[in-house]
Amino acid sequence: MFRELRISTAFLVLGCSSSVELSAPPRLTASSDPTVLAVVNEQVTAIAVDDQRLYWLGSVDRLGALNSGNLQSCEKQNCVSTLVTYGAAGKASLRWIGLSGGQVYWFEITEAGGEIVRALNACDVSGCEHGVRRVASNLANMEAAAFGSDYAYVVASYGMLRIPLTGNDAQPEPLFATDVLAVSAIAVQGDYLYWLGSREYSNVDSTVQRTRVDRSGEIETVADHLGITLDGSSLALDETHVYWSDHVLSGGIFRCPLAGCSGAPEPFVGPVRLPTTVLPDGLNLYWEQDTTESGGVISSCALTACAPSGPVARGVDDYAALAVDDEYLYTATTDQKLDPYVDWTNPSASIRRIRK
Amino acid sequence: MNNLSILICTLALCCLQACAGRSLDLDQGAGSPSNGTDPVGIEATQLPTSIFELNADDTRVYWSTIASGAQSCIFDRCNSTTVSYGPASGPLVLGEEDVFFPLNAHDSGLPSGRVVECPKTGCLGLPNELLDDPTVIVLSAAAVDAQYFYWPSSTDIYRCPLTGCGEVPDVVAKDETSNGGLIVDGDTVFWTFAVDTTDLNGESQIHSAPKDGSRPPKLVANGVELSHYANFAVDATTVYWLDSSSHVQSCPRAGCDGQAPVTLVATDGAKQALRVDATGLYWLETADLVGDWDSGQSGVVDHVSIRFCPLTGCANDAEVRVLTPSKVSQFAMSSKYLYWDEHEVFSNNSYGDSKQIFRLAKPQ
Repeated sequence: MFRELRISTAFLVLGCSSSVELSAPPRLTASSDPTVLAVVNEQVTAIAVDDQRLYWLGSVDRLGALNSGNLQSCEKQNCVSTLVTYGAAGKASLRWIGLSGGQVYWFEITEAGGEIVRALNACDVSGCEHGVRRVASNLANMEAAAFGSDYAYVVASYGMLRIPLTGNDAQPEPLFATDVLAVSAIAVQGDYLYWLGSREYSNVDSTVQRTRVDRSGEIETVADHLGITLDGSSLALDETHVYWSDHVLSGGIFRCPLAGCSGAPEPFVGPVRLPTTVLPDGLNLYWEQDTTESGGVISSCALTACAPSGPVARGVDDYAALAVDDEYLYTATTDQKLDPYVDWTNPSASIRRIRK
Repeated sequence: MNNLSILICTLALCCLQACAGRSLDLDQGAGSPSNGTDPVGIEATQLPTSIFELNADDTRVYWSTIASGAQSCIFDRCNSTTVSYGPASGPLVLGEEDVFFPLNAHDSGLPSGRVVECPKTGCLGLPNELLDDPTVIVLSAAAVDAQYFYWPSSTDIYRCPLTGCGEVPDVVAKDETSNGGLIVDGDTVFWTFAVDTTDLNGESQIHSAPKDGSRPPKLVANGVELSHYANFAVDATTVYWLDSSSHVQSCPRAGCDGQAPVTLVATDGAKQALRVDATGLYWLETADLVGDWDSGQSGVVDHVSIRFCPLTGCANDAEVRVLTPSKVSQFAMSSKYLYWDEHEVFSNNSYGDSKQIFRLAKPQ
């Protein structure tokens, strides 16, 4: 509910002020900046990487317009000349990209005949020469999603669903219902699905919970009575811990062991302004946060002893514009804040690769 | 000019019983207010359009309109002293020298999450940005003291130095929000807290914490009427609030501590905007209507009043200071004056814009 309201508001803001071209085809250009793989004539709302390629959801109107974005990719080593466009993604709020078995997965939200249609699509990572596979359709209002090796997991307004990645227009399988009113983020690892959600609209009674993906156990509480802002807070897992951000003004990143905290969660980073995406890579934790001067920035610290770095990227496009591989961090930046009273409106982004 | 008759009940002109009686003929009033002092001490100033926020000190009156944003004027010379501050979307908070308000985005008219400040005498150029809190869609309440600005964010109660907020504000109370009122008094911040935000008919509590957040928040009182209006007030010794029956209750400002609150006013008229000064309590009341103020406004309402009760209590005999057949949506109080707006009420119980602000001197 909060997410829908926020996005609607933001859309109106940009809708009144933007002069971006809504129909320009995606185009990559080179940059003299060695950390910039390419400059793309759109904003980037999500990034994912595999060994060869860098994938992103692009939008010429990231703040909420329907039918305005596409999933695209390029090769990490030669990005400008290897652009692949897979298909429409639509509304930029569905910021999840899945990679499994040589396929890339993304959600599409479109408007047709006055109806909002949500679907999960797939293509081979090399492109969609044989057409886009409609993995599932008729998805309900989505709050969060995550990808495992065999399934996509989706939080809908009435509970958790899973979708077999091999599906062809498959019906989502209901998994279970929860006692939370809204979910900010979910993550899957091994046998467990974790989520960060709120029991009250006030956001001050939020919780991290988990359950087995095969539905064989009860819902377990990892951490409880948390204060978070649903729109922007996130959740991530590594081999030992679950990490989450609260996306509040005097905010923080917290963690608990995967099986749950015996007491209060461990404050890991903070206070920081409006932390959003968190991403552990085994050695370090990377996160996005807001700043008053530079918009979104990415910082990091060691998992063993967190001493936050200064920003390694500034002017980051969106919450999910962060991915890592063994050597590099990938993000997209707009580098420009045009008006102190209007949201970021630069219609092009620099896709960056920064050595970790 | 409003041509409705206004009956002003001051202690000198009208006995309490007559003012409170439903058989009162409202057309017998003292005549329409005028721009200047009328025979019974009421003053009025004309506005171009309907207001949705009102605040005042002893010199200036401050208001917001959709068309013109936040403005103010010296009340008795309003035509020649009106200044504009900027597009506003919430409470107008008055400091010693400055006025603070949530800024609307200039191109959309929607809340921006930014709170800005202007000198009371007017901004030269853009308002100065004090803070940017994008988690607050609509700021419900805020307060200021000599050094800090206080507000409820989506998850915490914060404060910022008036010299600038920086990247991260100070936390006054973690995991606390306010659903309608926040007051800074002395070394303490008080706010209303919805017990269950999913229960639209639920009640609120009053919580408090030291201004510097040095101790955890504490429960002061239960049973506060759930409303977006500021339905509680604080003075040096006591916290006052409207309960779900629209009765005025009180407890020591340190908290009820398990004791039953003291009922100061037990009349059933729907009340809002409770204020306190050294002599007593003031509030806005619809006549003989129990429960929700807005429901009362859309139903049959024959008059609205601003009433007074001494701090010692008045049971069912609250004094009527102002009585009008018009709809009143805003009420403010300074150390010397009562301020309110009026909307003309039509025969079908709909009402027009509030195009006048009225002022009445309090007995000193």
